Amino acid sequence: MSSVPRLTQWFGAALSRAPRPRAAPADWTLWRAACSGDAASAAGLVQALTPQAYGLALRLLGRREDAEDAVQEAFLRLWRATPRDDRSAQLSTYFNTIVINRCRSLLASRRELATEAEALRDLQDAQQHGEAHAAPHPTAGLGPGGPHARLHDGLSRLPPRQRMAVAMWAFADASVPEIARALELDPNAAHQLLHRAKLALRAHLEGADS
Amino acid sequence: MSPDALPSDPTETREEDSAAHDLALRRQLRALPSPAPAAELEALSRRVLAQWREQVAAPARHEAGVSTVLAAGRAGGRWLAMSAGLMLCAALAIGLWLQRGDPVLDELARPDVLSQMAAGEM
Repeated sequence: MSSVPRLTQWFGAALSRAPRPRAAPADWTLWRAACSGDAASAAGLVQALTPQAYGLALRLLGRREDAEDAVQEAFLRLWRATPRDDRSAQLSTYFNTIVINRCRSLLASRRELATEAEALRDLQDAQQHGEAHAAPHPTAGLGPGGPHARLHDGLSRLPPRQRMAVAMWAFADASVPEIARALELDPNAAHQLLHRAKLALRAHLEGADS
Repeated sequence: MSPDALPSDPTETREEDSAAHDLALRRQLRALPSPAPAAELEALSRRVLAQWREQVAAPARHEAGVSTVLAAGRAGGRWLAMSAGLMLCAALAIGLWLQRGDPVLDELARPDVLSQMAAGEM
């Protein structure tokens, strides 16, 4: 027997003994099928991801048109994504991260995430006069006075940066250093921001309970 | 008093409480239903799917079409090469057959021994 077939045989056997890669979660399989043109998979994925993503964008941005744009752009990015390193994350978490990034860019362009003293003062004045969110946050389908409505109300009362920090933490599994990087803060400041946001939400929920 | 019976470190308990609260808050936030009406969500989903058809499905179909044509071309190319080979073989065979010697002409071209002897050449 020549050495080449022997080598091929050994290589084949070694490959069959090698641990197989972990199977991708079902939602990533659906994503791959949708990216290769399967209509049913695309519809399933859109139906599964849109409600939470749109709700998140709406809560962060406050305007329907902006939220719709953010979700549509996020889907475009999802179809073109090459998330090899993120396979361990859930697809919904990965998608929420894209949505939050889009929202962050939009908010930055609206200067709602500004840190400069002047911009913050302007924003504070606008909020005090009830102008910051001219369009009221929609609450359809949450049920008046229910826990969902209370949490929604608590979120809408948070300042934009706190709301962004808590959204990144809750929906995109972002750590404090990641929040700090995204909001251009030092980690201590990001930790404080997130802590204050959580406290405010809890206080709102408990205050509403009592 | 056994160490197990000692009251746990209050800092640790506070941290556990905080982690439990965090987990509960994150779950509550994730469970928040979309504040948008169903019709609005449906319209948005339709737009997203239309975008998907335009950006993903159509190019994928085009790509599939191109690869089918290329594959067909490759299969057609094989047949074409085989036919060309056969035709070349046939042409060669015909050429050889046409170039075969004519026995009558060969006979005529052979030198006449008797006339050569008469002419004193042999």
